[in-house]
Amino acid sequence: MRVQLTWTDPNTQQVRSPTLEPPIAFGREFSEMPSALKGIAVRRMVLAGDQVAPFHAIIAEHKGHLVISDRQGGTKTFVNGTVDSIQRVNNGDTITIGPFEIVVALLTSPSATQPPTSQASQPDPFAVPIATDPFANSVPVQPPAIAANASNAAGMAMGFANSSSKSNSQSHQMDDGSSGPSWFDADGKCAHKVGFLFKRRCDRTTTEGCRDCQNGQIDPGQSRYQDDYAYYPGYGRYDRGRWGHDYYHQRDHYHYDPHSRRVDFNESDAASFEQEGDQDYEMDLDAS
Amino acid sequence: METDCWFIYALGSGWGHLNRALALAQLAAKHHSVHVLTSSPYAQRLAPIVQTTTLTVHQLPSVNTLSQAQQFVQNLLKSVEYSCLIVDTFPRGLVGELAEFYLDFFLEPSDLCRILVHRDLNPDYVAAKSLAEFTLAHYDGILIPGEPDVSFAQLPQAQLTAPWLSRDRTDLIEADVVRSHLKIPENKPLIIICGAGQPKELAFFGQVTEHIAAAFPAAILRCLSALCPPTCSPDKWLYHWPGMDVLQLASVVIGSGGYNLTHECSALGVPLVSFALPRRYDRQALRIQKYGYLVESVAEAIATIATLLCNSKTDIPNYTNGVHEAIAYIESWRSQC
Repeated sequence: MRVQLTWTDPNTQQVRSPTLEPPIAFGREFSEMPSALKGIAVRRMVLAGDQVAPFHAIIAEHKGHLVISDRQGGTKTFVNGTVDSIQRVNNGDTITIGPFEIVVALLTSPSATQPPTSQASQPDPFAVPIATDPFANSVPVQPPAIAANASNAAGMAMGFANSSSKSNSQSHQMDDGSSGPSWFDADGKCAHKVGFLFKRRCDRTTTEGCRDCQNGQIDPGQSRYQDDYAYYPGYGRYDRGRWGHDYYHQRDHYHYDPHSRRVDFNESDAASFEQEGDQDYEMDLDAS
Repeated sequence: METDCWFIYALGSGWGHLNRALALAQLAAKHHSVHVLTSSPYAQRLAPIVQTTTLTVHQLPSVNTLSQAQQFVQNLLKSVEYSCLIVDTFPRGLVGELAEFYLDFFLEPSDLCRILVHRDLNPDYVAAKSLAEFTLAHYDGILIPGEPDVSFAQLPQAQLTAPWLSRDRTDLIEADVVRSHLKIPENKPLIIICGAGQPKELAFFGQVTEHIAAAFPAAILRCLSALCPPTCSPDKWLYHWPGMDVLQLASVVIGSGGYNLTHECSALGVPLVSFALPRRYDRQALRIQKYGYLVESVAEAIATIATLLCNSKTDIPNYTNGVHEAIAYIESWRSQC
């Protein structure tokens, strides 16, 4: 069974319409959602919103039907306005999770009708929308010193848009079977650069469970942080005069406090600062 | 599901999880069929003593990978029929296996009653795994045996009881009988070094025994542990379970800051001098500061013991064993599921 979920992100107004096979988990935190259910890999959909629990609900196939189960951790999941702990989901139903209203279309087999690409209302959510690039014709937010140079700022915006179009021209392996560059190098490891401030090679051997590409849902030509970089164009650039110059050149002096767990970076950046004292939980049978 | 069966999940190293689980299981087994799952290295010594027609102990086998352990636990939980699942300490399981097991309940609602026995947990772990939210969603009841300042004490289904102990006050073996059986003279102060915890820590407690014996030649020294520590002379070693029968004789006890030893000594009115041993999830130093005397070196321990031996030994107070109240709560929650 394949399911197409369609919703408009209330934060960005971007329309998302992925086609997935259940089980599908919804939540605010990728790492809080299960990676597998009864041995089947779970597709994890991140919904950013305060009314969305870290792990909010899960859709799964049960006895030939699609059901959605609310985790009942103080949150609620509605199907066509009705709330219950477990509800059946039919074709055309609307699931409401926090501010997200998700329309469900059931596709019965992998060869079933693909998402219509001719309809302007259902664009491919993972392609960079050149026509709707909000920064293509506007001046992006700049630190005061750079904002005074309007032509430079416009050039940066165009540079960003151009880089997006260049990445978009690279096709990739999608559900529709189109070909493109692989995630992995000849050594079988992912060559994608991850990290918000400090880039490092991903090196995972599978996209499954990867929080950076979110189970391979993010186009390898697209940065997970493209929205963040759009707002802060200097991030990730460490040449003199850029925001990150001092941070990068003093990176050996940074100290990660494992007790307070105080880091201002995302998980990939935190990995760059891991020390011997850091440890994963639930990994030791001799613990107590 | 069988309506009169309880399953107690008590994975975790050392004595703590096992002793707490058996304290509950032995009482519950008078009226219910009880299964206990343990990974304690000491369980095999106890199984012949505690197993009855209504109490079964399952031991986690030696495995090479975490996934093997997870698979064993999940298969066992699916193969035994029970109406009440009581999980000691780890809401998601020691290695997260219960989190996956509970996913089945999303699709097929069950009347299984799930209870968490909530001991102190490292708050970093609680935050990292969102345990408060997980516990709120997956457990019908939370029992807090004797430690009120724990992470989930404010959750609506939490209930505080007295500490869970291996012996009721009235079930303690008579002191004279214990002395006679274990050949412990009565005419001198008795100092007991309790080598609980993990087997690899036994050598340390054996060394402590020898140091304290040299510092207090006028006292009787005994190392109470499952095995004779390699650094302890055999004439100072003894084994008896449950340890409370022996601890009641002591003028001072030296050990770690684990749950059972701390609360057993507190209940018996015996002063406890403790070394806070490093644990992944338990904060022993915090517990010792509330209920015992925290020391960081043998020299400090000797100085503390010298001070405590100046006090005369008091009678055993009439303490409360919280397992009775715990069973009442469990049966109440079970009736509502």
